[in-house]
Amino acid sequence: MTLRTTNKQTHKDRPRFGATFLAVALICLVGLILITRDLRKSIVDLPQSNLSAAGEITLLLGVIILGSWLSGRLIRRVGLPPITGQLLFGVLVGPSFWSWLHRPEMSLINASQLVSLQGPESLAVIMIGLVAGAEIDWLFLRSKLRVIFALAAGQMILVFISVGFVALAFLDSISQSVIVATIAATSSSAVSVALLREMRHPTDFARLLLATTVAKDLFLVVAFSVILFVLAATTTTTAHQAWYWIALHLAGSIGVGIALAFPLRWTLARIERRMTAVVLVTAMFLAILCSTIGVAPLITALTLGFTARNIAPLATASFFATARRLFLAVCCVFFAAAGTHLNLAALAANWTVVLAISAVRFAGIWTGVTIVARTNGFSQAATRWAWAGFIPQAGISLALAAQIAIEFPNQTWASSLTTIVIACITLNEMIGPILMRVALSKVPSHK
Amino acid sequence: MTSSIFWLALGVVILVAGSRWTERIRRRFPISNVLGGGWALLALGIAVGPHGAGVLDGERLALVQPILLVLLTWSGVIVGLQCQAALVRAIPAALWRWITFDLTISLLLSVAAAGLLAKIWQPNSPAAAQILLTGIITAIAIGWNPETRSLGIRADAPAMRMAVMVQSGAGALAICSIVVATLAMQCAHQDFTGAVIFAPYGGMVALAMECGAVIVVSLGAFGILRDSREDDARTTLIMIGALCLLSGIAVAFGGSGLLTGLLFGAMIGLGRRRLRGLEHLISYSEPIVASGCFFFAGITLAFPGGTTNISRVVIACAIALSLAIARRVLKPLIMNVGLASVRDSVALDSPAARGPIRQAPLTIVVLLAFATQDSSGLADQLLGLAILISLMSTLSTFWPQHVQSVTK
Repeated sequence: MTLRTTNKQTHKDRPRFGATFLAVALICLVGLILITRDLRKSIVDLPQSNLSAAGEITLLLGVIILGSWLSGRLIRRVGLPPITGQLLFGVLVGPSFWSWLHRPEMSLINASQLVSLQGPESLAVIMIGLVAGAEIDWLFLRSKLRVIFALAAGQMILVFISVGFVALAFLDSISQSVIVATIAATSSSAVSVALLREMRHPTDFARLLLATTVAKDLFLVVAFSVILFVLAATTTTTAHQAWYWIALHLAGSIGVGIALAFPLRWTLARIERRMTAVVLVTAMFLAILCSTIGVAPLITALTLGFTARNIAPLATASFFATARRLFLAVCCVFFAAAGTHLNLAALAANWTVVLAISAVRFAGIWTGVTIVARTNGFSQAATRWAWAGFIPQAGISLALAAQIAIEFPNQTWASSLTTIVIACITLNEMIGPILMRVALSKVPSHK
Repeated sequence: MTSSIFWLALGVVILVAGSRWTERIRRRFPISNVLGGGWALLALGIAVGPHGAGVLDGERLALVQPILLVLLTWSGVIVGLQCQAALVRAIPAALWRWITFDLTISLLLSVAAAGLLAKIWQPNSPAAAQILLTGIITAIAIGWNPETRSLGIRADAPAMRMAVMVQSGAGALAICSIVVATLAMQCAHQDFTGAVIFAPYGGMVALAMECGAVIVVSLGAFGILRDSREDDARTTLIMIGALCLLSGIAVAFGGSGLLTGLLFGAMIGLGRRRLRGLEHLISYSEPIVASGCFFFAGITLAFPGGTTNISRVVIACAIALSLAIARRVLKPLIMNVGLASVRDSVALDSPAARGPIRQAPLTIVVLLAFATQDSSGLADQLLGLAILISLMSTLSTFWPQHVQSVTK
């Protein structure tokens, strides 16, 4: 009886956004922008603003935040994770989808406008890194270190070997196959933390998936840098760039993250007001610092969040609580922007190789994770579904893919390889969150 | 590298502004008596702006301009949210009279002041420019600073009533100020050549479009916020999204976001259900918005007439002083006449009664909005003038006020 009453109250407390309301709101939003643009052109003697470029940025940001949130809520009604809705919204308003359909004039956001959204996007990456880092508790990490290592190693080895062989069959080049296999082994910390934050009470299982993803991605960034260095040394004259990249992107990023944690703790211990401003200024400062000294923003923010949260949990509690409050808006910007960048044309053009690589990657992750889960005494549900937490790919994978073209600027194969890798990431980015959401719902608690 | 230094400096200032030390210092010294709490950011804005060290100039300034637009819209929302049905119904007749009186006198005097200023700055200005200037000066002259605590606290009932009158009057007149300034800017604006033209048709159509967009966004936002059950994350998301969207729409129609924000706030405020989560968010963000506006004011303002010619500096200071003196003389007079019927129940000699003398901080926001449409530099100079008047009018509150009160 008590349980029934509690359930009733929970149901009553839930927001009542009907699918019709959400759909109408979304249509109104898009309609509003289209009407605004058309009317502006047709009315004569309109007052002119000096800040029309800035106005365009705020307008797009407003559309992205509200539109992707509404899409996320709408897609949730059919049992899919909001991230999928946010990605789909990005795809539908971005230029890639309409260019693929040969109707570029239909896109709400064109390619040049996407450039102006880079600032908010980089802020979103920093915020995701901070929140993801803060979600990892050192005591939890220490207690699960063996499992995390086994989970990460098991799937990485299998994915690397299996994808490597399939890629070799299609690409006919060992070096290119190694690059594809390494990127295929990465997962998405951003998706993991977004789905974890979506849960009211994140389970140990969700935390384990996040910690493993972060650990795995950090390792793979190093591995990828070493591989690029070796390949660049044999094929190009820009070998020094790879060492530079390793030093800055990993050691530099982690070093800066740890170093900044101490002044942040010192500052937060002395600040009691305006935490939203403090969080935003910290994110802006990190974004500018990372772009100025060339370190990786996601890794830096991740390390900063992890270190600050674990060296001073009390002093930083308010800071991270505020960051989590802003996280919903951040996710909307990040995933909608990711949707606008999805290359559907590349996916359509290379669908056979993409499908083959992705299928083998699925199989590799499933086998590796299931074996480790069985040997480590996971619950039946966790053993069955843990693999699904490592399918999503996003930020780090895309950053690594972009690095191929930078490292091998004069190689003709570099651009085609980048296209294939991005197409694979696109597929995993669309399917991954759905599978991970299923996994998190099937495994309510894990001991 | 310079932009990193700038962001570092801005970060340090914001962190210092929110720290316990500053709070202690603020409690000990009456810093807030002079120019509210944004003086440090105003100084920082002047230091890094194009008129100072030039750290924030050109492309870098363009990077932060979206923040300015959102801040302007946010300021409008803060003012508009005061239009709560219960609050509007509770306004006494005497306060309505005071508000109307202040509005009328400000309008009449502004016509004269605009003529005078036009003679000094733009002797050959057309009628459209005069209309624009009159509207802007009226918006500057209307209202006062709503803050009364720094003037001193008297705990008796008539003094408390006086403080409430001052705060409510300032809130209502802030709405009038935004409406007057926006109407002036929409009807008389610069064309592509930079000349000011009187085009009320285009301006009014743009205003109508903005209002239509605000209604759509407000209804959607209200529907979501009403059902959000005080969910902080969702309230923050909807507010950030709506602010970005409204400021973008306003700019698309040549506006600044101030009026769209005001209408959005009013529509949310006039709704039957009170959104406490949103009210909390707004009250929490108020100092941040104020600090941001002061910072942008520092970047934008220019000393009236320039700083190279001493005679022009003296003239500008004299104008500011004369306008501050005019406030010092006229505002208490208007208050005495407006509140004559309730003289026995409100303490006209209480510290809070000196509130109307001080320049409204909203002036800075209105002039920032004007600066987004003005390319002649007039808005920047008016902003400089408004800062001077703010300082002088605040200092003039320390001058003793001789008011006969029946409540004493």
